[in-house]
Amino acid sequence: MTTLGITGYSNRISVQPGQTVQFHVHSERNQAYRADIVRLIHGDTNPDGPGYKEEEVASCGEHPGRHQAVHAGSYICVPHDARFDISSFTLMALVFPTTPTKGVQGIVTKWFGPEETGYGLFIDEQGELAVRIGRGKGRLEQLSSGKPLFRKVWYLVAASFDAASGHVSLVQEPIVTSTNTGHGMRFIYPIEETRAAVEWSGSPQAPAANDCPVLIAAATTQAHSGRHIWGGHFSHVHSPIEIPEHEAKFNGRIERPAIARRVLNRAEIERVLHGPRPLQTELRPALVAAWDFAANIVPNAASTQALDDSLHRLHGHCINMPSRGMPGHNWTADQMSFTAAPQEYGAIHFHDDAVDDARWEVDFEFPIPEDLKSGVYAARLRLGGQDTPGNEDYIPFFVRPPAGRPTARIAVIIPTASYMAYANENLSADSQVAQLLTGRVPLMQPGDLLLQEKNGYGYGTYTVHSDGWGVHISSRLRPILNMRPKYTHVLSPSVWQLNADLHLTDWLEAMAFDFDVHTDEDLQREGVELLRQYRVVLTCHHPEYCSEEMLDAYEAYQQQGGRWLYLAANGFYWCTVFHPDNPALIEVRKGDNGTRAWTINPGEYGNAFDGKHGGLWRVRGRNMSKLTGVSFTSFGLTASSYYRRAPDSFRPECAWMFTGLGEDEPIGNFGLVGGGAAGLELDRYDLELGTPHNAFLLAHSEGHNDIFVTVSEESTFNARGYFAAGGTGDQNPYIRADIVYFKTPNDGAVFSASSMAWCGSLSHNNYDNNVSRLTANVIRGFLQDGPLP
Amino acid sequence: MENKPEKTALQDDYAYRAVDAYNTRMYLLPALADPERRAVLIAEHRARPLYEAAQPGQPAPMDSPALARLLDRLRVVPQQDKHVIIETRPWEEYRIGVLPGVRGKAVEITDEAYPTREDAEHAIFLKRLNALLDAYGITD
Repeated sequence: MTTLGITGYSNRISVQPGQTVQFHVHSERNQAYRADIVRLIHGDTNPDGPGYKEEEVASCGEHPGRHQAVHAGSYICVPHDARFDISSFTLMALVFPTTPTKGVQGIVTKWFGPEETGYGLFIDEQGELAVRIGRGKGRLEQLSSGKPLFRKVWYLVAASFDAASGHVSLVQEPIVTSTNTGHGMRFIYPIEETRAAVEWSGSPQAPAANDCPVLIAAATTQAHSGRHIWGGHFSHVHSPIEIPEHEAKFNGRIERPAIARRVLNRAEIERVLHGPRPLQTELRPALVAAWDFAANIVPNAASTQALDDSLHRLHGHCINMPSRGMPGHNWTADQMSFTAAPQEYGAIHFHDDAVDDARWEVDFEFPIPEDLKSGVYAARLRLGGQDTPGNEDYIPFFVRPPAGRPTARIAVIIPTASYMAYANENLSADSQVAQLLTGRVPLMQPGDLLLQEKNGYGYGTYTVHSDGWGVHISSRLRPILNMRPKYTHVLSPSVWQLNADLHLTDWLEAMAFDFDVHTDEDLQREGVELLRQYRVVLTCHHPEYCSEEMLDAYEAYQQQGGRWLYLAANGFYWCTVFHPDNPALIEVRKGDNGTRAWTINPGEYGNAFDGKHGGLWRVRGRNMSKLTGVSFTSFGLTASSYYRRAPDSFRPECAWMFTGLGEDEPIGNFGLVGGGAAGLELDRYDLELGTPHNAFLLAHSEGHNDIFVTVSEESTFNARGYFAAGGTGDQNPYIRADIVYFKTPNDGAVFSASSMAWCGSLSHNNYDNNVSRLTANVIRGFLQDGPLP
Repeated sequence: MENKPEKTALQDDYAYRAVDAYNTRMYLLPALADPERRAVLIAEHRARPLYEAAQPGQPAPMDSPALARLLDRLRVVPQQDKHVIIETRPWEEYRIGVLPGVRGKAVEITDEAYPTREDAEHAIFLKRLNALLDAYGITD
């Protein structure tokens, strides 16, 4: 089979000796598999390079293999409670549907689909508001509004049922202001095309009770899934709560959903949906629940608890990380952050393809031996023991040295936040534009085929949800099928992220440089104290996603005399936030500026996870050049180029790095990433953007082809030609990579290669080449104690 | 939806298609309608289906303006039924795949196989080119 038949993920991505890593495995056809722990040495299978290299470390045995599904789609689960077993009712909410014609979608439901019991407010097959009263299979009464709901329009929606008379009423009332639809319409004319108030006489019999939870933005297809939430990003849940299997997944926003146990009149409904909170006391006895999504979104909107403002306090739990702190029906645009005006950000946006955690059963675990060398490892899974494509997968993890006991003077920081940001982008199948960036047809491997078939396993920040909203939350608690050795990435002529970073770790090993590895998660938690243990710290090839804590740590390391090699480009670019209670989740809001996969919608700038402005670090005054001396300037995901030495490289402070390199020698006109050391993404110095005043220019690249373009954040308008956004590598001098060196206080220093392809050239000619020589010279010079030359 | 009104030209994105067709007829087809000029473009692509690294002292290898314009157009054809390359045996066999155009459905893997990505790239170029010529009634 060409499509991948086995995959999985681990509970931890970074471990120390004595800790245990658990593996959750899915076998597509329930086939048995063999598991081994391997150390990953070189993942690029290109026969022009060192080739694939791994080392078997331990066997984890044979396993029967089982199919494990991902239950994607965000919703709120309010566990079953007898107070939801009501006869007459009013269901109400403010809703902003984003895929109203995508089939049945639950808004507020206590509905069990297979038996048609309970009640619920839905969008029906025709894209109209509908109420269901279920009394058992085949005894379902449904009343629809008869008018379509429009995409990206706010509505007041409500349905009442009087069990004594059988009377049903339904209200579908659009609420459109100049601002509240974001990029939606300002007015609807004629409004009758989508406004409805429908009355109907049905059966005077209560809906049949069931033991399903109340779901907001979905309905129940299995009350008991065997999967539970507690701890982590459900820090408010102290003992496991079982969640259902869900269907009728809603796309769009919901605000102030509520359930009353009697028929409310229109004025009462308006008071629940538009009135002040906490609720007015005379209405409270009528309400079973009235959730207020604005109640707990300051100082951040990271909580997965949805608070009920009724007397019953029937709080809900946000499953699969819906987006909180989103502009609501009353959004005025006067304040651009939910922290400044939480009452205008009381909406939650739900997506039918979101995943916070696959919640698969654990198949096996591996206790890290005390003497296991720090490095890059993986659980290697092979169906039937076969190593053929489609039958083999790897679950990578990173082994750190024992706590507080570094085993080397060099640390490599593995950019796991970036691996998560790029997770499962599915661009080969989804993106119409990607082929313009790469200048070629995408290559799909077995994991890509599985990802496409599975509708993503949850996506990453390089794509959009099914309703077109950008994916701004990514989890590592599910298979990340593009974080694999042997993987060819759609955004590169060869490799990218993990598989490209193995170019660096392989070279360090080949050159006999001892090193420890740590991950972004470790740096996030431990800060500069982690870095201070090392004389030299290296980045990998594309540490693009960086948290505030990580930036602080690197800056402090530089100030304290740390010596740092940035062997990358486009690093430290996006404001990235780890969930405050679970580092397995990150958030990135891509803003409306920057070289980005999608653009934020109006009013959505604030990171839910920390309440701060999301987007580029540049926008928050922390452009990457303040850290690296260079700033993202260009990209071309195609063939690469080479560098020329610049005059500063001959100065006495710098010449030591070029020992063994000729004066006119081109640097890096070879390599495994596009055939050159200057490629993919490129950085340049810029004294106006925070490059230190005493930085030196050691080399610059030239010869980039016409796929290379400039970054969009530096284009105030498009124009054809020279400096402009339309200027390509063959005419725009801003399209180049600059190797920059500068000193920092206390004998610290920074060397920036400024290209994502740099590490791909290290192994050329059996590791004997000028990229290897220059990098080794710098590392050896940096490792020396005392002042720098 | 029952009794769904016919889409207006605006709802049907008529203008995008109209301008795209104008651009294609005015600027792209003249180089394609002439079999000799077309053969030159095909030969250029066959000779170097993928960009190669720049070498010192040489201009970066790039496509001729006419081929670049054609490739830009062919690369952005809609995702449904778009051809991709499937790696069936790394560095040995590359098959032609066909995208479903929506998430959640399998990519069709055809029996058409090539020994290199370059060969598969050129084969897909020819398929896309022929589809474009068919769409504009160029049959010779």
